[in-house]
Amino acid sequence: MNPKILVILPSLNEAKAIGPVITGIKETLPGCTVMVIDGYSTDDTVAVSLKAGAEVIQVDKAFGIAAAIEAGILYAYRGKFDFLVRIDSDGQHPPKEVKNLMVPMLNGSADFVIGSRFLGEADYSPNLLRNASISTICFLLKVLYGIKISDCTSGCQIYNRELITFFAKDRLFEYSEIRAIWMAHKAGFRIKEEFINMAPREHGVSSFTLGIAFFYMFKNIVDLILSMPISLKRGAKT
Amino acid sequence: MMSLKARIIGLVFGLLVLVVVSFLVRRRKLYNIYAITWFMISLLLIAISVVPGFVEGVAALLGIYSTQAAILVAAVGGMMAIVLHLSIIVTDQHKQIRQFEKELALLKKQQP
Repeated sequence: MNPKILVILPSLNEAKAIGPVITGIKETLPGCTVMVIDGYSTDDTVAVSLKAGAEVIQVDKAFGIAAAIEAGILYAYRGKFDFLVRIDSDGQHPPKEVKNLMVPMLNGSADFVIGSRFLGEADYSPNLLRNASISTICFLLKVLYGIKISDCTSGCQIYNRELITFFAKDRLFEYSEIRAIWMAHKAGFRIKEEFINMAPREHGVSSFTLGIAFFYMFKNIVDLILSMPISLKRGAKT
Repeated sequence: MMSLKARIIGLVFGLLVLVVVSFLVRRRKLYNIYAITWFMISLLLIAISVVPGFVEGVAALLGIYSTQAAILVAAVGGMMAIVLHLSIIVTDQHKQIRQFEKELALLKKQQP
């Protein structure tokens, strides 16, 4: 029996880029359900997504991308999906490469797969500020939790059924790429990184501006430090 | 030592807080869990007024030798406790609103 796969695409004003992403992912993972989680875009994102064959839900952007992803996790949990794939809707992750990432998922060697742009030669390299924030957070993850991850802010993450259930049911769960990683690690899930290419952005602007970058980094570092495990055991459960 | 006048004012004020909080809880204008802090404050005020040497005793226990300073410390500490309590309430309510937003989003799902 084919596994039930849900692909969620959080989007905000991505009408130009999202169409090919949806068709691309449908070709790569035949039979998957694609769900666009839109933050009430002011352009045609919703119409384009529906036309490309995706289901659409809208979560107000005031609640952030976190609430959007959590709604997707809830949907995957209730719809009894076997895998949840979260990729960016701007087309920077080539949909075809998601197939490689599904390999450790399908053979059961990982519960959580992260698509990392740093494990190979990606076409796109983030700017200095972004790199600095990524490496700071990765360093903290390593020191505080003993997690070795090269791309901890990657927008490409895949969860299996057990992890979806854990995230959907755990009262303490609130989504952020980083929180998802350490909560899964702490609960004993196996995390694996695979290379995914990242193309430079073709349309639109990233919502990750300078101010937001600082805020994102600050928020995540505070979150990491304040919710630090009391016993600093390295790699406690793996 | 506090003067008799000051103690009577303190007692009246403490009782007033108690009556107002009780009134608000009865009218469902204030949920009882949120009223706990106010209830504690009124009890404290009453205790200060009724028990002679209460403030001085507590101050000496904490190693503060001026009564005025002890009252100030208690007031600031109490305020901070209330603000923390309010922050917790705000977080809780934000969580609930988020949950509603997610459920609403899923209910309003659009099919291709």
